Amino acid sequence: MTRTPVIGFEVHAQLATRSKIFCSCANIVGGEPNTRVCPVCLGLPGALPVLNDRAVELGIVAALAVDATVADRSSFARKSYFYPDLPKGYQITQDTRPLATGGGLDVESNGRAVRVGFSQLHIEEDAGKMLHRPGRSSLVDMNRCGVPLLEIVTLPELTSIDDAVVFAEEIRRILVSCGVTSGRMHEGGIRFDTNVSLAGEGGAPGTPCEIKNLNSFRSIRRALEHEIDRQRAVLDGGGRIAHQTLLWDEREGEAHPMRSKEEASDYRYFREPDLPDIIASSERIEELRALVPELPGAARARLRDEHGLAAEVAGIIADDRREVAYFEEAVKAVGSFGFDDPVERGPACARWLVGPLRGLAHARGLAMEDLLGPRLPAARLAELIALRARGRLTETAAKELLGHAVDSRAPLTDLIEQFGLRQLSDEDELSTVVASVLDAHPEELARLRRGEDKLIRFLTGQVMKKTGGRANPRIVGELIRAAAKREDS
Amino acid sequence: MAVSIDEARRAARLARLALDDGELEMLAADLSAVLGHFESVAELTSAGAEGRCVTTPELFASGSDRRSDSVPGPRHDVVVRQDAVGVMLTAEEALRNAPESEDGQFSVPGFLPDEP
Amino acid sequence: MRLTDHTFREIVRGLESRELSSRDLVGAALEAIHSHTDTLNTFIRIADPEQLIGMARAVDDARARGDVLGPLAGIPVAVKDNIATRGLGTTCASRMLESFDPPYDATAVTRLGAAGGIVIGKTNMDEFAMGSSNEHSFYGPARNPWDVGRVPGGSSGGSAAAVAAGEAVLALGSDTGGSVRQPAGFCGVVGVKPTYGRISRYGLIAFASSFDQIGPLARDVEGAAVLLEVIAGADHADATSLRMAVPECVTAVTRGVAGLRLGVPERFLGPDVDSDVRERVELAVTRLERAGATVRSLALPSLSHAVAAYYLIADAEASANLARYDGVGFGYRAAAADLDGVFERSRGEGFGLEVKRRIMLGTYALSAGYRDRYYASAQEARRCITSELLGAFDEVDGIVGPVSPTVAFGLGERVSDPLAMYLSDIFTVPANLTGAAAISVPCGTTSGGLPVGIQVIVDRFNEPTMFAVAGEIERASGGPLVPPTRGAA
Repeated sequence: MTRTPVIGFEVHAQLATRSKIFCSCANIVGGEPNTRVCPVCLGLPGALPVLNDRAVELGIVAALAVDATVADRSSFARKSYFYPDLPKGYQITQDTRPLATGGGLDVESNGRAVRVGFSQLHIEEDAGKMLHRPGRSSLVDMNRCGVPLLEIVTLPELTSIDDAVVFAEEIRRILVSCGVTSGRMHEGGIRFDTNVSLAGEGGAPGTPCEIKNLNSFRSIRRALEHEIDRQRAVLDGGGRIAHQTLLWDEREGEAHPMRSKEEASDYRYFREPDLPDIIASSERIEELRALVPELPGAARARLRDEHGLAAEVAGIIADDRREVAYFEEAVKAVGSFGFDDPVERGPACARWLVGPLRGLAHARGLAMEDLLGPRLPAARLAELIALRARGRLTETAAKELLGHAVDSRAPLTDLIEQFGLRQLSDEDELSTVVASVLDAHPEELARLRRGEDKLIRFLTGQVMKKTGGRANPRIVGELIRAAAKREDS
Repeated sequence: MAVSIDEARRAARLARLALDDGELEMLAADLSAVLGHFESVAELTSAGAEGRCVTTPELFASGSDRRSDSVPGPRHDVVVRQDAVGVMLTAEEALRNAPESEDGQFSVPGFLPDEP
Repeated sequence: MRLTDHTFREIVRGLESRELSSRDLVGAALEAIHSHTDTLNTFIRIADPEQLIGMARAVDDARARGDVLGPLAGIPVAVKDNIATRGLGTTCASRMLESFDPPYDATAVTRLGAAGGIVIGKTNMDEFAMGSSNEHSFYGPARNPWDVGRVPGGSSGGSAAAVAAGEAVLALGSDTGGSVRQPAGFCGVVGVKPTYGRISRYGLIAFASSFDQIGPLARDVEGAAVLLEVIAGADHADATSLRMAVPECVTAVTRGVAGLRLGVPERFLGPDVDSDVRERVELAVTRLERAGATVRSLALPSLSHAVAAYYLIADAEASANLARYDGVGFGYRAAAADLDGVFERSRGEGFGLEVKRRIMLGTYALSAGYRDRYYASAQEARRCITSELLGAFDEVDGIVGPVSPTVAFGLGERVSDPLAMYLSDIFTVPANLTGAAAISVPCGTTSGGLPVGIQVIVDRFNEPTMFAVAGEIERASGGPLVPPTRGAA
């Protein structure tokens, strides 16, 4: 029997605010334990929550980015349960009146368009962090307690693991591009819980199980594979799936049922009396709508259609709207530096952005956003690209120039002179070098004359070496062939 | 409306209160007496009571809907904070009242989150 | 001297004219406390007497220099032990917080200090403010200065008794269902529950968040008005505090009641009220009529559900507010081998019986399967009661009646009948349910020599009218009461 997986997600993203959601403690990852705390986020007796307006703003921006309906009034609720990382014994979250409802995302997976609908978006506070040490006491650090979270609950509409992973990547991309979250998964900036069941014959729904603690796309894939296999095995063996909440262990590649007793799931929600309703007027919503940037999907399409970029390259650039802006600036400038072919402008700029510039950033241990902008204005890169396209530089020289262009503010032409990067095209100059290389390699020259054409490349390479990569390879090749012919008599 | 010992036990478990059988029995009886008396609260909003309970929107800060999870409160502006970092406690101050702590963290008897 | 020798105005005038010194006042307070050791048990903790004397002297010196001083400069104030005071501990009369010292002061305490008030100590109360007799205290019951075999009322029994017995000029209490007004009535002093939100709850250890308010206690109406003006006003640390100007309460005290319309609910003077209480209250009402007010009868049938609505919602909120006492971050921890043991035993051993009873009630009312019948119905009832009571203020300016059906009852008389105890809150809970302001003013003593309190309830925000009526009642009944002098033991 074919059993189709039915997959949904709860996405938790830490909001990029300066301070926590209900107090003014710093919202920063790390730090000495229990140093970013105050009576409010410690849940001390007598302390009261006060809402950080920026958390609401970012929540609304996220809602607008996914076409959800923002409620004009929403409220907070207390969700009660006992756990050491939950100092008040309840979490302040939203329940029946969330910040936004509906909305969804269209993604492309394996060539098909896939739609994932959302049931709601809401904001809530994060809990502290536990440290478990087998055989010893467990410890709690409250620095993370009170960090604002955006929770997105999807409808269980995904039907394959590939679709699920593509969705997870895209929702992260969107939230990051909107500035809602840093999205740094290894820091816990965005976390995924997934629920998965197997539908039976004729779509009869299965019992879902929930898997928590998925902190990477790889974990999501592995956990889904693992759970779907497990459920399939149970059902094929004639058994029934019991609802469970499982904790994924990435190291072991296993999911374990979570510590909880049946009673723990009665959260006894009620409206939070310490906080007034969140009011979102239509004026405010429209103001915030202007803050929703062009989303990655739209940017990708535009880069492909308007600039002629290949899908994969477009995808890389569209991940970060600052790169998109930078790219477009470079494309605009490159024409004014003499890059004549308009069709190739986009692909050329993209190639440099995605290739050598990224390589440079990586080599220097920098983030792309540190390299773009003041350190290498788009126009400067455009000039370099145009020089290369016009043949003033070899590829090697151009890459070397890139490094110097970042380190110095001097005009590119000065740098080319200073570091001797000009491509050598003067035939007289090159003939001398060619002659000396051929003298040094009589065997290879002889073999070339006998017809081993591939030695052109070797000999050209030697000339390139001798000229520090500055010789124009085409001319070198011609000169070598001419020299080989000349003495052929 | 009688509250059974089992129901009392369940409530005690939800509330993480260790109670011996004697206390459970007594509290179950107390709850029964009190809740029995309070059953009538549902009458107020049952059929026949409309007209007496007109709720006007301005009275309630939390909105004019009659959903049972909104709370009547005073009129006041929506109060929020600006997103700025303020004064925080030192770890010493944070842990000063902690019954048990270790390495600058609150400590509890060891457990693993995936132990049933 | 005894603090009960003077009205509040006389004390302030005395200080200004230097006929009285703060040293005198603090000395009188300490002497009264000392003479009542073993009898009244009003204080859980007293500040260091040397420090108190030092503070008093400093105020006297400043006054002698001609410095500008705050309205409460040098005046001894008692603070209920559920209001955070850094350095003095805050126990809520519970084993759970026996050794808890908050790292901050409640906003009300900060404002008290800024006005020059001297905090004498922390007063006894029902544990976590849950009770109407001050018999549910980890530190033993407090007693009524009028008759030490009787309760002072609760939960702010210690504060009311301290003021009545001359151990402090003013006191702070807290009122959730009558806990300032009822003990004020039992002890023959003035107690106010302001409009909900009038006084910041930051630092008031929460019992029921949508009901709790700090309330001033004093021997006379003017003292209560001055104290209220000092501590009231918007607070950024409490999102439920009113963003409104503090009303003029002190000037209202002498305004008189000419032209005011007063209403007496039918059931407020019905058969469940003791005849001697009814007599005193009716007399006070007659005097108000003579002073120019008109009085009519009110129906208010929804009030018959007030106690039920109050207890169901308040205890539900309390069950969540007290979930933070779990033995982890602060407070009592029982010896336990595992996490569940820490939670259950710490709470089982740390909380007294009445607290556990209310947590159970609240948990039950919110639990799956019972929530609609209890919590949701109670919320609907609250809305109805609010609509009806606040609607009455279209027709009357104030509602008057007894603050309690009886005078102070004997110790031990009601403590094992919780339902009876709860039902006696019938006159006080409506103000908490609706957010209205209310005051309890002494209106004479019964033939048995026990004080009777009359309550005035006004619409939200209308404290001035409340103080006008209270002032008139006080003048007409001959001024503040003094309990019979007691010798040592």
